[in-house]
Amino acid sequence: MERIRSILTLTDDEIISTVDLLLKISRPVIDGVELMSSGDMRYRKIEVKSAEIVPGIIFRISYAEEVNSKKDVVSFILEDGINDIFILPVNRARYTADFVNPLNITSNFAGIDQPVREVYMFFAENLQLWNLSIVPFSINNNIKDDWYTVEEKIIID
Amino acid sequence: MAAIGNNIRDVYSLTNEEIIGLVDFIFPDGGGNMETVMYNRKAMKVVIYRKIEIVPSFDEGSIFCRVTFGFSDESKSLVTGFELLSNLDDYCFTSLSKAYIGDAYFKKLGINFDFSAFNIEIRALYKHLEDNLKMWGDEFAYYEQFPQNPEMMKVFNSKGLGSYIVQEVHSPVIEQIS
Repeated sequence: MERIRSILTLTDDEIISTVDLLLKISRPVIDGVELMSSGDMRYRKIEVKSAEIVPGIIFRISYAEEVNSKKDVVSFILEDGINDIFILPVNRARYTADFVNPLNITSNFAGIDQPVREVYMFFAENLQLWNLSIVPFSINNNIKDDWYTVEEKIIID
Repeated sequence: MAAIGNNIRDVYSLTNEEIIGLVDFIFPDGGGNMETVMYNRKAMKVVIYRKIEIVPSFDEGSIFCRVTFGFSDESKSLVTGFELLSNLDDYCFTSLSKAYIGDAYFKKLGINFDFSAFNIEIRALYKHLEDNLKMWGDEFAYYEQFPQNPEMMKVFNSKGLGSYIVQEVHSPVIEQIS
């Protein structure tokens, strides 16, 4: 059976670049109403913690069009499979209210379309998930049971 | 003509057999993966019915695939679906969820289950599109190698929210598929 690099070994920089990719063509929507594109974001906060319910990382991204305006929140899980990974939207179609509600999610990640090849190539080539021969990857010790802020910044053109 | 790059295949050229193969990949065991991904729902026993339809999308270069499952212990069918959208030199594969297509269109399509509750392995999905469906090629005007699916085009060229049935099977045919 083929092995792959665990999601839990992603570095902070790789976590940020993963968010950059998955929200790059960002069209976070609620009930079909487009909220904003990533190009409009002026505030972004990336938090992660151990997914607990599955092997992997849960991401929570808060973002806003204006720094001081109300933040929208979107969340997804990267889960380790046996020889693959899953990108799982955190929403009420998938998880219980007890799990979803504390996250204060306002945008459904499932509403953000992702280019299949680009996403796969990113994980295969940039993050080298399927290449264990280059360097030994170690667990990112920042990823624990409590939220860890990987990035919080004001985005300026 | 769909808005696609030169080196990818037109989604309108997918044959009925290829669409069935894609659905089989997404819903292995004739839909038997459903109970494993749902929280707080009773297991849905045996799939005894499956219908696959192609519905015109509101995007150019895109198809909506609607899949209906019937279960041995449920009177209500489960209707779910996904979009395969060509995007220059790539494809977006997205659940037909309320979040994506809006509540009104979600209801109009008759969908009652958000496909985003399913687990899709990202490498396996890419490999299926690449190896089985040959969605990417190196040649210029690669898309010209694949004629458009006449049944699909007939629906797309008609006005309204029509659809065509790619496959409709009852048990025990489902068991043969899985």
